[in-house]
Amino acid sequence: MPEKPLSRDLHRSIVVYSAASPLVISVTVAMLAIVLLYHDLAMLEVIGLIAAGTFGVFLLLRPLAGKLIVRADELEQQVREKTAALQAELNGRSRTDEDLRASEMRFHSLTQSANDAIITADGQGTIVSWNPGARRIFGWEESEAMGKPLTELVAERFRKAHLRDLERMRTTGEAQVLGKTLELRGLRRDGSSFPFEMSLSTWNIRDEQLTTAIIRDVTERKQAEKELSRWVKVEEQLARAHAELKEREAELRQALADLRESHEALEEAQLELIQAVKMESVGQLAAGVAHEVKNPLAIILVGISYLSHHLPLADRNVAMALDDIRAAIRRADAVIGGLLNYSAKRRLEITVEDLSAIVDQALLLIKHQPTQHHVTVLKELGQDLPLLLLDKTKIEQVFVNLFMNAIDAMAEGGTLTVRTYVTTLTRASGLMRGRAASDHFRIGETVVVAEVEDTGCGIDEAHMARIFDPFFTTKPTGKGTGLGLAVTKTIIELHQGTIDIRNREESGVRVTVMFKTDR
Amino acid sequence: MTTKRRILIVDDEPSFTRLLKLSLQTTGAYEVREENSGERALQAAREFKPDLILLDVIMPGKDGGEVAAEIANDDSLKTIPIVFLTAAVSKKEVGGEGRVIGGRSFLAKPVSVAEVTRYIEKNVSA
Repeated sequence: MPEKPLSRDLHRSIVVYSAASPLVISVTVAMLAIVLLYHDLAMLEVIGLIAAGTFGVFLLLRPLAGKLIVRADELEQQVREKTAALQAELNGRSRTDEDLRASEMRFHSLTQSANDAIITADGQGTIVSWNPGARRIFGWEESEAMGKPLTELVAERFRKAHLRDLERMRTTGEAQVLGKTLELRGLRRDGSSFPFEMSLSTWNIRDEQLTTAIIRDVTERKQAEKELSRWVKVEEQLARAHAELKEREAELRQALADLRESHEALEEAQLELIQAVKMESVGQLAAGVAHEVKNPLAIILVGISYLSHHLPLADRNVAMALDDIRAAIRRADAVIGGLLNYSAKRRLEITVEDLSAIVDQALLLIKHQPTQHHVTVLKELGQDLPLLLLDKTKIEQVFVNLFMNAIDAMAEGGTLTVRTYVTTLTRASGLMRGRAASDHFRIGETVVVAEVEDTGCGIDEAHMARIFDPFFTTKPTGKGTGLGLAVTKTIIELHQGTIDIRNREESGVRVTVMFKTDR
Repeated sequence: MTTKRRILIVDDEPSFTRLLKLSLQTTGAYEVREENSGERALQAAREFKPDLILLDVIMPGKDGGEVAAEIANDDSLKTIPIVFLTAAVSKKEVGGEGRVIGGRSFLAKPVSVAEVTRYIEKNVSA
């Protein structure tokens, strides 16, 4: 049947809905035709398809005025063709739908399972998607969050900056923040703020620009960082403290060594103090005793003198008795004399002297003693020694005492060596041994030294500490008063000199006496 | 007959002065007066007019130094030589011949009679 041109008379169109099945459509149209025929509307034209979907079909039909007759089967054919086309389109659409659904499902599974907040906002910055992670982090339920501005999630202080970034992103189409991780502070539902990291991505759909933000709550990480930096600081502090401790340890060791040294010095000083106290009391005693003893001695002596004139001196025993008495008086007097020496007012009669001359003189005084005891005397007296300010008599007394001690120590004979010289003190010279020396003299000082050496029995180490004690003597009773060295030391100290007595390696004793040269 | 030298001994120890006097007088060359107190020394000197005074230094009451000062101030006595006897100085320092210390002569106790006579002979003109 040839197709007739149809005049389109739209104002007389009708919309017909039908379920998709062509059969139903044709039946429906047929019924319509019948109805229309009845109403003098003989023909219907299918003008177009308004909408089609799985739900059905909306057809736009136009009754045809006039005598045109469209046969039902032709109509049916048209409908069928149109429906087929529709179906094809539908199929295509449902494929896209599937893809879309598949991708939606993928997105959904991602967002559902993610720990981070994945939030999508539209072009106005309104939240259009909210995942469980977001709920966990921010506290808002999905229903509450949807429609909120994204900025509400940002702590106020940072909002301006955030908005600025978003604005820039919108206007320039790209953003400095895109792809980068921003650190901001977020605002939770309960009003608390917390640090988060955010990365943004943007995508377009039709004309709309959507932004997806992935937000990670970094509170814990920040805390961990803080902890770490704290521990790093602690470690640094420990390292520093350790270094300090090492230093302190070295200092302490040094201090300990110093302490030990001064302890030793203190002990020595204590011993000297005890000695000084002893000497002081002895001194006071001595003066009193001397006087009280000398007077009776004087009486005895004078009495003996007198008696000796009236006794039979021819009788050997009488003579001997008198001699013994006189000797005893002399001995007693010697002791008293020594005691007095010891306590004598410390006034020295100072004159300018040559030490070698004094030593020589002292040797003269005892000149017979060495030969009596088979002792050889070696003299090594320095010439032109610097002159010293000395009390001649007392210094002579000192050397007489030292010589006698030496000779007494060499009961079987031996050698007495006497030396005088001038020298400058060095650390190595050995003269600085002994505390007395280091107290009185300095390294580099010039001193005059006198040495008295013997080859006798030496001094027992156990006695060494006490040799300068008053009344200390190793000589048998009656042979020595024990005052010699005590007095000697006193005299030397009054001259600001030092005396050192020690055993020689070879044998015997060396006495070293030192005097300052510059006074 | 040679005149006996007059010796005044001033010492607070009676045993000593008694014995010394005895010893000196036995020699026949001396006339000795003893005095045991410093206070009476000056008077004794005035009365006895000695040729030499042996003077102990350490005495209770007036000591030898004071007595010596008094004698020096007395015109009639100041020419008399004084020798101090002292226990305060040791024999070693003074020696057997006596010694001048600070312008004064000393003999150290215990003195023997011999020492005294020697000293007198040396220092007192006959």
